[in-house]
Amino acid sequence: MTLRPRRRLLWRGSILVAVVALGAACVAPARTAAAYEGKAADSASSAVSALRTAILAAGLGGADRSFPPTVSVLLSEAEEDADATEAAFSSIQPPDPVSDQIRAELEPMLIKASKRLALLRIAARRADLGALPRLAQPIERLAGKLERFAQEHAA
Amino acid sequence: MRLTDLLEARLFDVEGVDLGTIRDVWLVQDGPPIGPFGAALRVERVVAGSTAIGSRLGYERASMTGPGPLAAFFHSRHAHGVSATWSEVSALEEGTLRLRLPAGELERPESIEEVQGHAAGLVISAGLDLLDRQLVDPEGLMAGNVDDLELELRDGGPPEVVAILAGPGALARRLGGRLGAWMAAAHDRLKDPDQEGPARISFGVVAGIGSQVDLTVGREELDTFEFERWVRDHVIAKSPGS
Amino acid sequence: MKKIFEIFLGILTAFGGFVDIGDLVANSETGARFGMRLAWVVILGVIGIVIYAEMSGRVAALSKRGVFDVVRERLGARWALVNLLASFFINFLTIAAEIGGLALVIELVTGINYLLWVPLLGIAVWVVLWKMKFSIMEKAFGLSGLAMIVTAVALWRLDPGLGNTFSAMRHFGPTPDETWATYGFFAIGLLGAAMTPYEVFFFSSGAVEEHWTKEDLNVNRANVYIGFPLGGLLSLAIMGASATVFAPRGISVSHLSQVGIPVSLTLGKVGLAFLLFGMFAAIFAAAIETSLSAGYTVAQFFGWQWGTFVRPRQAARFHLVVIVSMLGAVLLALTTLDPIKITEYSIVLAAAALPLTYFPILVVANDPTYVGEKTNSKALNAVAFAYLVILLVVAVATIPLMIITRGGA
Repeated sequence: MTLRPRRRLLWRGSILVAVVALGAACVAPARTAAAYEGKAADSASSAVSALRTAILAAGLGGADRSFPPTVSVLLSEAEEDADATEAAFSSIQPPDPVSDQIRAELEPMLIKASKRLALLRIAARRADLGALPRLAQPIERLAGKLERFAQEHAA
Repeated sequence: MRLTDLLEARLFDVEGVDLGTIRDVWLVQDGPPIGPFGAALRVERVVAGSTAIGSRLGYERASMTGPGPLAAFFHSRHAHGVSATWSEVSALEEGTLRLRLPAGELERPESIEEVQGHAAGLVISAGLDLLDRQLVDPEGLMAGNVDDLELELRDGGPPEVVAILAGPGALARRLGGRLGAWMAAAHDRLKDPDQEGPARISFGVVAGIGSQVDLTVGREELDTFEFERWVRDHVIAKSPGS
Repeated sequence: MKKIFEIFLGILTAFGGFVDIGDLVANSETGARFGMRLAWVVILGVIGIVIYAEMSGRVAALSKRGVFDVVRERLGARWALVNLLASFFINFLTIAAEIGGLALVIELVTGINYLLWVPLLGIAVWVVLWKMKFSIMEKAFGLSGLAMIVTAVALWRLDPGLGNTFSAMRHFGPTPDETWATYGFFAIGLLGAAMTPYEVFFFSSGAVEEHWTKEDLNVNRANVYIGFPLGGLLSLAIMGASATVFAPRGISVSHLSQVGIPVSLTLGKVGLAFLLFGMFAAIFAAAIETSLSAGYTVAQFFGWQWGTFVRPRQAARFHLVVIVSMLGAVLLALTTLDPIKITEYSIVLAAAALPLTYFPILVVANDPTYVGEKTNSKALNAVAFAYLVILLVVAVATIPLMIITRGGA
């Protein structure tokens, strides 16, 4: 009974964990229309999360219920999340024309989300918290649209 | 000879039947006197087979009764184990221990309490009570673990425990495989050139054994202290407020 | 009278120090995603850690042996080494997660990027560890952590009487849009966050650090039986606040900044200040504990002198391991790997590794040569054995679920 079999197992286990860790970070291609639709729904949900977080943050900032740096961080992170979601989704190859349509519908919404969140982030970093509620107003409509999209195309 | 030469050796009876790997070695304190510890420890028997894992965990003793399912499992399996006293051993070769008797003639394995009942001195399980135990010096400072034991064959009698082996030199052999070889090589290169082999602590400086092994010499006098001394002098002493 | 005060202080310290970055992340994320449907796991985890910590504290107090001493003595050098490598690695990840978490808290207060704070905080944690007396350190940070109780106040404001929260707890299983695999994966994370091994390494070594004896066993039991469940209630409050604010809005939690929103909503800047202060203190304590645990595990395996109860020069190798581990953790955090992601992996792997250290402790807590007459009662053994089975199931399920859910995506 040597250590070797167990050490090999340990090595294999570690490599497996590392692979899984990396795998979770990468975006796999979508080969079927259903898979693409699922990813679209997920992306929409992520965007909703970022937008709604930003709405809450803007509300807190405007009502002076949070600290300016905290609001700033919240909005920056929301914007980063939205950007990452849009970048990941747009990099996925649509497998068929049906998926093209899905892309055509979702992509502009994601870009709009990024843009709106950027404006919020800029205002927050300038410590212009008073402007936040006004800037956040149109965001709820966009969030609602994305949420409906996600529900329609959910797996 | 080291204890690890016995542990992990395969046990064969006189007909060459494989009785399993030796998992534990029981020692009895009935040898010649060896310092404050009293009589020296000598090998009384070896315990082999898959069920002997229970011995290592302590389930040999009747006093270990919990948790229920584990105790019941190990106690019931003990009767199916193999145990051979040293008098039944004929030869120890590289990785194998041969008996003088066929398996059928071996006595039914007893619990450690039963063996204690008719023994001339304290009976302990080397694997459980001695190996991997913390060494503590008279000031209460920790001085390493019992990584291995040095046994000496004396005049055809059972091997006697003469020293504790501690430190990477001894641990390397226990771990075996590539890791052990690497550790042994590193130890060879880094140790004091006067020191041959692993750090050795004569059993004459052992005061007693319990949940730890108490020594009668300060840890700074032991070979095992070298690495600690080096780190202390070269790293820690440089930091403020040590 | 003094004894009662001591017990009281101990309970509060255990209470305030219970929640760390793992609990913050696990409970917030789970509340946002599954509402209160996984609250039962927190309860399961708290009972588990209570059993585990009480046993190892008892063993340490009566035999002066820390957890890894016991692991090596029972499992032998080889298995204990495998155990050590796994435990050390996971502990290392946890140190990085805690230091990263601290940096994130400072980022929330200053607006300056967290990466700049990582090295400074690493040094700060080390200085405190090096200089401050163990018991003072534990109490100061543990009690400060109590400031996080504002989360419970916030939850009360959001859901007065907690009616919604309690009724939401009765639902079992994932929501229709989630899978059982994800549900199970989040459950494992919650369990790992509640039963983190480093807490036990630290707790049992701490018992030896503070020279506990048989007389201190009742203090031990009070801290554990009362303090930890209170900490568990705080975890549930975090989950509840997250569930109430985020779940209905479709918000998923992936940043530490979001964790402060419920408190800001209900209690404004004052509440948020308390929360950030409490978070900082509790995570700071956890960073110290995990760093020391890195040293405890390695030193106990090899038999080296360990502990802050001796001068650093008397435990040189122990302190070297602590320093090297902290340095490595700071470097890991500086790779810009998201501390939240590091936390997520550390809690899941911690859950999977639990049987390795739980099993020897369970055996030894029954061994009269270690604990004298204070072996486990039959009732305790029954529950403790059931937990061993649960932990083994969790250990086996972790990697497959991690693969199936792609890390909980």
